[in-house]
Amino acid sequence: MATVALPAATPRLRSGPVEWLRSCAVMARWQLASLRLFIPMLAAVEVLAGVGFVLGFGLFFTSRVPATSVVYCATGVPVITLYIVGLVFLPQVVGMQKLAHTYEFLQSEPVPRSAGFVSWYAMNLLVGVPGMVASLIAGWLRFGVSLHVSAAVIPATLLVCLTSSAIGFAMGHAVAVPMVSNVLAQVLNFVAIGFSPIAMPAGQLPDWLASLNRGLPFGSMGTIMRSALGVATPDSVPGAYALLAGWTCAGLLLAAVAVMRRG
Amino acid sequence: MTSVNGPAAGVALPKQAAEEVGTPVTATWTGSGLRLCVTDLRKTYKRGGVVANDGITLEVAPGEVYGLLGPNGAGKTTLVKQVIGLLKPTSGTIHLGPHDLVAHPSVARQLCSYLPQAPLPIDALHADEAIELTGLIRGGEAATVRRRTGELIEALQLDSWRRSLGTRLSGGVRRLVGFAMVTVSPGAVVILDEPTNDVDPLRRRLLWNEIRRLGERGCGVVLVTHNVLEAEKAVDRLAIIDHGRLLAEGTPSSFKVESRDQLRLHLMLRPDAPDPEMPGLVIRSSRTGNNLVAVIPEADAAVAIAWARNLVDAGTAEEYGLGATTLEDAYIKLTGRASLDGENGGS
Repeated sequence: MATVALPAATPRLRSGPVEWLRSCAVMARWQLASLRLFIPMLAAVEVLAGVGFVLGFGLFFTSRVPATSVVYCATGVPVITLYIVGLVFLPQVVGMQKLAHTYEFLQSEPVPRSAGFVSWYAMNLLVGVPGMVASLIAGWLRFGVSLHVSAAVIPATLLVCLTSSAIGFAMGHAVAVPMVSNVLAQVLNFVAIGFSPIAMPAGQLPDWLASLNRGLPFGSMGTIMRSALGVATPDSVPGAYALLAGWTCAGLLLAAVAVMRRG
Repeated sequence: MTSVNGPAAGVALPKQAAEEVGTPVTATWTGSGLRLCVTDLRKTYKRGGVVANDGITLEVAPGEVYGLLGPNGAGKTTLVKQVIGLLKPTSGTIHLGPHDLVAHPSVARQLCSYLPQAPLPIDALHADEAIELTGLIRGGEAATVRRRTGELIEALQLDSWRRSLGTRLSGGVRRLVGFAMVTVSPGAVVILDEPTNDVDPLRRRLLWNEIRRLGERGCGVVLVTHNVLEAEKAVDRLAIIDHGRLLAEGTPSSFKVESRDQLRLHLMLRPDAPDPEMPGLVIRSSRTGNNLVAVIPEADAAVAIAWARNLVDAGTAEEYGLGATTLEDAYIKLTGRASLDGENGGS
């Protein structure tokens, strides 16, 4: 029988920013390791979907694709590849954890709840950014779109991922029934792709839908990304940043209430 | 354990279980630590209004292995989920040393380790990686965690699966890896919900050794189980809970004081045999499947054996065994139901 040297029976209580950063780092390691079977596949799907969306977009048109549509496609598809992990995949994984009864173990881990979110955010970036880059390259090659990538692409990318992660995290944790959160995520994705001014100008939408979209985050995601890629946009860029910040705060607030709720 | 076997092979599962569990526990912790105090804990679920805990009060000392026994739905898991901070009590208090765990669930998560009954999320993790990462999440120093991971793998004889992914582990091995995950950097209180589920007898014994070692090093161990025979040998004290209430609490021996002059007669009935008519000497009896257990006065042992032999000769029973009363008998008396062991044919 091996002799196992145990640490002290009374562990010290941990708090403060250094411990928080440590918790974030180790939770990110856990997240990446736990999803290592999915991450390469998911990243590949993101790249293929981004490229496929751009190439397939041209097939909607029998003649030359209008210049405006080309620009919206080339700048909108990267946004879709960025938000899809946080908005769709994240609540699905949380739902799977609930169905597999592993959720409670993860909730009992002695780390700040925010560390769990940060680890998800890191994974969203890791999986989403390659797809975003691939779709930008595909847009340039397919349509010859000339984009001017500015430094603002960094905060735009970070914020799109942050907003989608916050909303997805909130849905995953706040909605008790996994099936409901999964359907909700799919509906949001459907609305974002087909009925929001991400990959099309708001002017092409019915007035009521354009008005509705002014309060939703999807159009603003497109606005800040187009601005960062050097495309003139009719919408206020600071306003779009502010709206996304608001959605991020709302998502994080709802998520905080959900993960700290005790039945 | 005294055991007198009938004509067929002996049905002495208590002895077998005793061998699995090993020698009885003696807590050796004499240092300081945090005492878990649960006072008048009540939990009523809002949905359905089910009263899961109804005024439970108990204490677990540092270094003590404390068993929570009770049938399914008794309220054991609800109780420990409140300790770990996953559920909020309707009323009552939970303190660990000076810390109010109800008011500060994040402190509860840091000071308590919890092995739930449900599977752990390790499908994509290597066994040693899962243990090590959990140790780091629990705040352990990297070098200490790595060393103790290796030691736990050796102690639980998991070396063959050290680099196996969770998807390739059997249920029992996954359970042992889960145990190692929650004890690699143990809290002041370690809560283990059915830790031996699916574990083979050999490694079950190793697991009990490690559980006792946690106690010896000053951890309070709360062991949730409905396996009474194992608990009898493994815990320092125990509580029997049913319908959300704490029915009795004490050492395993104290539960058997009342029945020191009694014996338990175990009969393995033939499948589908009707309940035999009980002789007047039987104090109480219970049947689970084909297992019939009757508690009899020690003075009437000869008469009881003759009755049992007649049942075997008549073809009503296949075999019988006579032994000292166990905690199981006290459990049946208190809850009116056999434990898991009874269901599995223990006597």
